[in-house]
Amino acid sequence: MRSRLLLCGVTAGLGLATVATPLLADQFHYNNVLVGTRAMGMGGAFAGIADDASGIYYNPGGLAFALSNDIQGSANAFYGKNTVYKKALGSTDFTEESSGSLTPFFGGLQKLDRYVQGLVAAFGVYYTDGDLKDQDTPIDQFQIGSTVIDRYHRTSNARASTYFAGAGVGYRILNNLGIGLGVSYFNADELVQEFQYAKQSLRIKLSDGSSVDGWSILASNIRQHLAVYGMQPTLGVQVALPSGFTAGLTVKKIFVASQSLETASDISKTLVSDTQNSAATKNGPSTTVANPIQNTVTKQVTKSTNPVGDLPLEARVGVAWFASSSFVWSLDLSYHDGVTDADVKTDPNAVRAAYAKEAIVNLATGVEWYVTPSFPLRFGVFTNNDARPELKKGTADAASGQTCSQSLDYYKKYCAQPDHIDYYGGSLFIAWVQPNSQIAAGITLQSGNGKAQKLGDDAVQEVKSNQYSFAFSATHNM
Amino acid sequence: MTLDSHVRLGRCRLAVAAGVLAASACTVKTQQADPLEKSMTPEERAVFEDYRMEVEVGRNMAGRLLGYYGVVEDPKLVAYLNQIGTYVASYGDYPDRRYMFAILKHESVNAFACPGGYILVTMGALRNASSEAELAAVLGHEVAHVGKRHMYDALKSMKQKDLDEALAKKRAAIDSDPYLKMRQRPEPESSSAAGSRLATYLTGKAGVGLSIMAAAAAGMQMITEKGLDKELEYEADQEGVKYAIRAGYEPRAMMTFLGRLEDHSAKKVKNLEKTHPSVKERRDQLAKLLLSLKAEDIIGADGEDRFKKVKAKFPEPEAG
Repeated sequence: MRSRLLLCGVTAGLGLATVATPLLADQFHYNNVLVGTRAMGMGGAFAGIADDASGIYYNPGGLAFALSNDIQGSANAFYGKNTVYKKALGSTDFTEESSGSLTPFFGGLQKLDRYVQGLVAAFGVYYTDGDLKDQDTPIDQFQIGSTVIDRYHRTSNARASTYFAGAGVGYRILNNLGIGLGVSYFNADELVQEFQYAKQSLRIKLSDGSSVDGWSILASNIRQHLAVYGMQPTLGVQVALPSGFTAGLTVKKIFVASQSLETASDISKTLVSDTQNSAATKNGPSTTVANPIQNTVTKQVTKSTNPVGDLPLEARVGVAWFASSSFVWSLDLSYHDGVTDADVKTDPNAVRAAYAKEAIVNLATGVEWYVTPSFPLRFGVFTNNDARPELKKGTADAASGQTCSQSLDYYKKYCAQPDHIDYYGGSLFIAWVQPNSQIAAGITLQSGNGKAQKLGDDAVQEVKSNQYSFAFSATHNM
Repeated sequence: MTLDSHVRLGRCRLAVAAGVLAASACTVKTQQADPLEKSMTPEERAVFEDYRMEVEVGRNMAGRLLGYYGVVEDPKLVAYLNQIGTYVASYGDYPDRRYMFAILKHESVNAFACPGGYILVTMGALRNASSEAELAAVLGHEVAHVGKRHMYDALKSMKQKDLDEALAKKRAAIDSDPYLKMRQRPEPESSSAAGSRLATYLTGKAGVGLSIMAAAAAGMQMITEKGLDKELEYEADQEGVKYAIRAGYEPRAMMTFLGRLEDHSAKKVKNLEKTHPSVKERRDQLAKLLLSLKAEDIIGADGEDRFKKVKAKFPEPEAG
């Protein structure tokens, strides 16, 4: 959940408030949730293995090499996310927090040798992202530059999920070669409701030259709902090489069938004089107005039918080495292509820039080591790079004399740049295996650094973000 | 330790298991750790886990039978059946076990002893009886099946055998395929008690591959299609008669009950003979037992008058 803080309007002395564009669940990182009992422990490096039900996600070609029928379910018992925007409010940090639980994967695999030798079918429902947020942030008396903000208060509620439900088949066309096809329904649904309030004391100059003490108050109430549906075909191939090596390739792409972004906002800007208390704070800037009391309310309801536009194609290449029955190593490289601004066929507003994505590559590697025949340990590391463009500090502000509110082009270039945070992650799971079942539990950690323009002006903040997730899973082999 | 003390120890453990299970929430999934359960020795724990599994399988089977046939909802009649059944069981070899009796809404003559003590008698079987002694002998037969764990032991051995065969077949298939063999992971060690409980909780599985659902399904096939081994049926007949005699009933009641079946239409006993030895064979075996027990010297009650009063209030048979 990334949204801009509504302070720009206050500090500009009642200029136009920033176009607050809450972006919800993190569709710009592709490794937010690791899927599958074994794969989640191996950092998501599974394209070269993929021989259980999670193969529908990693590589349907690997399904063809399944050893047994299985059914598995896994859940993030608890996850938490904490993103700190350094000195976003003057010298004060601003923190976004969310936590909750979700079910990353439930799926099953059935070998169909009795019908066609080498044929395997699988199904799966899996979440690749999710967020639950209920944050209340009141902050009193902080300073941005020379301006003192008396009171800032934000209440933010969000729920978001991205999930797939699909089926796939794998088939061994040669003894050492499996191919697979999967088709999944895709759904991304994100809802955010956010209230922001900011109050600043200032000196109001009247047109007759006199001045009075007063306040500038901004309040905004925004609700956004993004809904995207589509289908994702997945093609996979896996080849077993001599000496226990395998290699896999997976290509998948979401074809969007429907998408919409509904936004309803009320932004109220109030300038009010303090005739009762002339000794009010005078730390703020002064502004000249005709009337000491002004109230502007901007109500807006918009619906975009193509806010996201195209979604990236993913290609995943993986290798695995089955060194022995008790040790497996795996490595995946995944590539997501970019969705440029031009690809996003929507009305010209800040939204399309916000949803643009760059091509990125992620790396994951992991091992599975059976410490004893009943207790495998799984460990993995991975990257979770940001598909949003690298954020650069604007430089044209002073030269052009423009502000973020005066020009859309300027805003897009210098004020509407989305956050950019690249993560590194690790996972550690231990499982307990029985002849027909196994349970696993462990933790996934991610830590990232990046930059953001949290206030919607051209100031850039350093960002530090941490995520953790306690997960467990159960698998039953038949 | 003598054989007798072994039996007493076994009964004692079973009594502990039954007591704990009865005092608990009765479902595996929602069960909380009980102080008594916590204090068990590993040996007692194993008995307890096995008994819990037996109850789960039996409950599942009883549910299926009740769902299939329907249940007679006559509280007085059901109470009477339970009264006679538990009374006979209290004179059996396993009085510490828990028994529950219900009536199936079906006019064929049959009764089912599900593992864990769930005993279901058809309405047709009740109508076939002419005295309480006959009913007691029939219930004694089912109590013996439960107490001696005829069905549960058969299921356990069948599942293990099936599992072993399937495992061997699977291993052979994998071993012959180098590209599957390289993915083979170590054979897991046998489960620990703590791990077993956890796996049971999470996956509904217990022990080595014995699934409640699969066992119940196999049990249903056994109870409605294949039947138990002939020798086990003879044993249940003989034990049931002994229990009824100990309880004070007339020794020849079972003979009378079975004899009446020979006069019945084939339709009414078709299912019974499908899963039991023929009535004639059973009567021949019982005759030998009665001779050895010198049954003619035993004076027992037949409870005919009381049973007639109960029978007079039986629900009318459903048409068809």
